[in-house]
Amino acid sequence: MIQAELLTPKTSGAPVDSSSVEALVKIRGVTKEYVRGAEVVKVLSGIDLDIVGGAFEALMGPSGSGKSTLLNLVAGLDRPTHGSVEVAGTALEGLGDAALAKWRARELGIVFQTYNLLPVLSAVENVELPLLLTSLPRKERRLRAELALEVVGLSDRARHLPSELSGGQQQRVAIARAIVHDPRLIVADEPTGDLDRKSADEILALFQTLNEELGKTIVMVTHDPAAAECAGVVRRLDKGVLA
Amino acid sequence: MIGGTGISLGRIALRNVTRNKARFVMTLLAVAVSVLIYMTLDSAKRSWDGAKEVSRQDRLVTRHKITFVLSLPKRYVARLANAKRADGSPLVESVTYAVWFGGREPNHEHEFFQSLAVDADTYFDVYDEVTLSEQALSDFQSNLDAAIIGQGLARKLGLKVGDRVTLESPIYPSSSASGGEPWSFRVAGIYGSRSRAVDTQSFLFRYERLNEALAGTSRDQVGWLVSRTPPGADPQETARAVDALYADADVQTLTQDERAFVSGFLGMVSTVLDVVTLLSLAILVIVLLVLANAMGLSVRERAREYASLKALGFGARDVMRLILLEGVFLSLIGVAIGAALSMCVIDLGVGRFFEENLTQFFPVFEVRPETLAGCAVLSLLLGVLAAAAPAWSAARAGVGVALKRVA
Repeated sequence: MIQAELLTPKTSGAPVDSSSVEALVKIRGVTKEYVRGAEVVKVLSGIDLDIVGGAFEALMGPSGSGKSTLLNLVAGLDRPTHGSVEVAGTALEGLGDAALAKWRARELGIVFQTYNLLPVLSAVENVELPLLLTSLPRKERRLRAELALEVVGLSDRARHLPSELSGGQQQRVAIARAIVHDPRLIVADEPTGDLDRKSADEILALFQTLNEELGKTIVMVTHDPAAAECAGVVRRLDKGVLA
Repeated sequence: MIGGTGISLGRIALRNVTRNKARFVMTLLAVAVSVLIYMTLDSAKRSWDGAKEVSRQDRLVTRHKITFVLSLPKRYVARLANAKRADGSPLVESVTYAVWFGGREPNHEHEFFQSLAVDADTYFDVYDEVTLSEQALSDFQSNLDAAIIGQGLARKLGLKVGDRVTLESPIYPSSSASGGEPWSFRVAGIYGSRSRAVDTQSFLFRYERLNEALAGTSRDQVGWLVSRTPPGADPQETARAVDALYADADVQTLTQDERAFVSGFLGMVSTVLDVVTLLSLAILVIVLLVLANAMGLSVRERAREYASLKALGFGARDVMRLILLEGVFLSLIGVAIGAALSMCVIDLGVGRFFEENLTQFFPVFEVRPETLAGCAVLSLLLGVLAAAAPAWSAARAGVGVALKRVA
């Protein structure tokens, strides 16, 4: 059981009846193209997608199918060539870069395949990082970071640098960093891609707990069928089109 | 390992600075050495400016109009001493004269000092900052072989009152000028100075001793005259009046107050110093490039970290601030080490050497607060300039693209 007084408990996560809950993420007619020299590469084509609040969804598909691109669009890290992305009532295409950054700081938690922790910061400092963007006082920030580390079961490694942690532990720090500011949506790009099976299972169990006990909406890109099984909904992308 | 509670962009930047130890040390060394060169030159310039400040305006130096090397007839001394103003008052208060002897002490061939043949009766009236005991002055005025030396020179040559000193001069070789006798002197006294305008590295002996040894046209010549203007008199006006005295004579003169004289001399050499300053600025530009290269490499290596920060919600300005802070910290640390090094080298070594040996030109050779302040500003500028391009580039990079590029 997660002990998270500072993290808002939500209604239970997956499976969610999409007919009765309003979509947290609404994607309409999204196309994404990249220009490489004289060539235009279409990565996503006419994507329509609703993800309801509290869902745990997995995006699967072969390499180059556009999974990560779609995730980046949901996270506001990239902009669609055509179409619209709306998250929690905010149309992302209407936000400038600075406003988009503020939106991410407020509404989004991100977990990367390669953890992307700052090597010069300890585990607890890495977790505290997103709280620098809030008006919380220093002690409060540290308290919340320590609590988030407790949620992922790494309190005893709080003072360790990333280089002193295993891959699984680093990913747990990254998850703590993703939840420390209590976002509604967590996106994870191949979060178990660099981990051994045991560590991967621990991370997936943690995602399930976050979804079921804290009601976090999770969108996860994965190649791993075992990972996809943990999600309530599995969507497949092939050549930029949702199957 | 990790201390304190809470983090900030500043603390992250500070830790980033030292991440690549080898690059950090090499960059600091480059910056520190350049700062040492810059501060030494800047201190030298400021010291030279200081020399002008301590020089006296009420003391006039009269020399041959064409060049300092040519001498003046000794009779000019009496003419100047007796010259009157329009109202009948003396043109100058006191007059003395000196001859550059160019002496070296054979046992200390590498020690440079000023050796002058002076008029024992008037020299210390004109240079009244000099402190000398009555007994020493009396001895000097009474004995032809007596010499008065400065405290600094006495220390340097290890001399005390009563010691005998033999000098050699390329201008007045002992074989011809002294009739074959060596230029041997007895130290009659050691003088000090109440002002930095007078150095304590000089060797003074009686003009008569030199003059009696000379023959023909070399005799009864002096190198230059030094006079004091009466209180309230305008030095420039007096200088013009002095030159007017000899306007119709066979040898014309050029008279300047001591400050103008020192400024003129410094002016010639300060052109060289300006060139060296330009070179030091060029070195600073190279340092800027070294810093910019170090920052460019660091930022390139951390492209994914900056992209991650942006993904977490940090804005382009935050990333830019983080990188600029890193540049400023790197520069500040380098400049601080360079400044500390300069203070050790200049204040404890080079500066003291120049103060003792070239007091008239470097009266106070030290690292001044203005130099330190200049370096602090310089370090901020260098840091910001070095980090500006990488910071701009990292701030503009798209998050998705940056993550994809390095992932």
